[in-house]
Amino acid sequence: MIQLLRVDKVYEGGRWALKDINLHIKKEEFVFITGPSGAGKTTILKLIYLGDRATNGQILLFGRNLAILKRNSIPFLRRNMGVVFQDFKLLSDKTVFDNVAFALRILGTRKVELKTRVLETLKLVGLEKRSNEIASMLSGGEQQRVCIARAVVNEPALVLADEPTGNLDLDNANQVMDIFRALNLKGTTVVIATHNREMIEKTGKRTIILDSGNMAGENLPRQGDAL
Amino acid sequence: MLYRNLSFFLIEALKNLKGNFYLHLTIILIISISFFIFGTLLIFDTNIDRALSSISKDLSLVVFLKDDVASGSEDFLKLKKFLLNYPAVKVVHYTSRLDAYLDFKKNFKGYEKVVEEIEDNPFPSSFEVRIKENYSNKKELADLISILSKWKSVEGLSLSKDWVNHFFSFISLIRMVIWLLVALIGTGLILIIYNGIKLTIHSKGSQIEIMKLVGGTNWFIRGQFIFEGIIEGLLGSGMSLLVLYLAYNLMFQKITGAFSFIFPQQAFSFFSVNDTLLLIGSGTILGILGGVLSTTKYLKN
Repeated sequence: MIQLLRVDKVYEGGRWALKDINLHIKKEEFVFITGPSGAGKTTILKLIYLGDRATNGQILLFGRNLAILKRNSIPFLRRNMGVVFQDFKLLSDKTVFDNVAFALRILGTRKVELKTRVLETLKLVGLEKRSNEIASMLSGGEQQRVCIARAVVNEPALVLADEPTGNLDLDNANQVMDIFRALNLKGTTVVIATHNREMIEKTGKRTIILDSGNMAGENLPRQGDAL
Repeated sequence: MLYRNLSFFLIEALKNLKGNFYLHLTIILIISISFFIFGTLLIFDTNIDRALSSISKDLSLVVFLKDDVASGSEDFLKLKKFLLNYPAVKVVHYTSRLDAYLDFKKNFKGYEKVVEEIEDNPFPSSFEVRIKENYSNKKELADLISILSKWKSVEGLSLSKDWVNHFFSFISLIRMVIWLLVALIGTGLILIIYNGIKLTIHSKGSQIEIMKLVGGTNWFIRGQFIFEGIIEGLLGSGMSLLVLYLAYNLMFQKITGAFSFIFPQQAFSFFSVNDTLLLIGSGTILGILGGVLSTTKYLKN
């Protein structure tokens, strides 16, 4: 599903964020990308959701080469993926329902179908009873679950999450990870960038380790957690 | 799909306006004030054009002939032919000495005795030369006066070369001042709207980013902001028109009435339907441009 071939990313000023990265993530896989701050975790995700372009190398996503993808094709590619951020990126003045429905409105989904799907997704993240509340009034853990609901409401094949538990306490972090596992069990490919080693060990999934923009190693999933 | 999108844009635009009520109210008021000033200048420009054309419509030159130039004589015919062929001249009307005498008696009742006491008819025969409407070739008119003043059968002229020069300089000055003001206000208007848009960008940034992340196309993202701009532009220009209309009815007519000795009052009017539509259309276009420009910066990234 995702393939990075000899990918480099150099930012303005000559700072290397990624050096010669080769990576293959299969369909329905659950993968962690970890490493210390500045290792290049966020940059990899950014290159995958086309928030930025690689300086060198090729990235293949859903069989398409992102290096030659035209700018006006980006929105259509993004509709096949959901992105979750550490700082939530919610519309703070809108309700939980409106935040989640936003992704479907862009697709022109009909009103009745939109309502059903939003409520189903809110049920999945345990927020069906909070749908009419203003997003900014929710706790950090709840806001992150709204963000996940928004990312998955259109049933994307891929979910990318950048430090999704970074701002959460242990209980909320566990709840969020449970949601990602549930999504993965339903067939969604999940890629999470985190430096939370405890969470990674507890989950026991495949882990790619980065250090200063280089591939520093890889931990394979525990037995029984092949995907 | 298109209907759903358009209604989404409209609803989101209205929500945005409600959500940032005071910011948008400020922008609407800025647009409104700018259009009010612009509209006032437009009214003055339109009316001054009308007034000037009504003055130039009345612009005429009277060529007084020497007493020995008889009607139908060679000198008479030569002068008449010259006047009729001159580019600035619209109509030439001849008044004989007798006609001038009778006209005076008819127009200045009570003063008949003044001329009756003089044995000889004191009035010269003349050609009244009407100048073409909106005529602005100062040089040709001045040349005409110059030629006629040297003409051997001409006794005198009702206009001097200096008067013509001053008159056209006055018209040029008024036009120049108006266009200078229009240019100044226009530049100011663009700067005000640009800065207004810059203010709104700060409140739109995160929303645009989210829309991009969930797969919104550039035109979809622009949609609600364009609608927002249209509403602001329409409300701003509409409000300015309403205030202008009220101000025109309350003040403008009184002011122009006071100056009616210079310009005929019936020459003054409010905007035509076309000008009204132009003003509202400009507001709408500015709003659309504002919506597009304010989002372009974020959509480039």
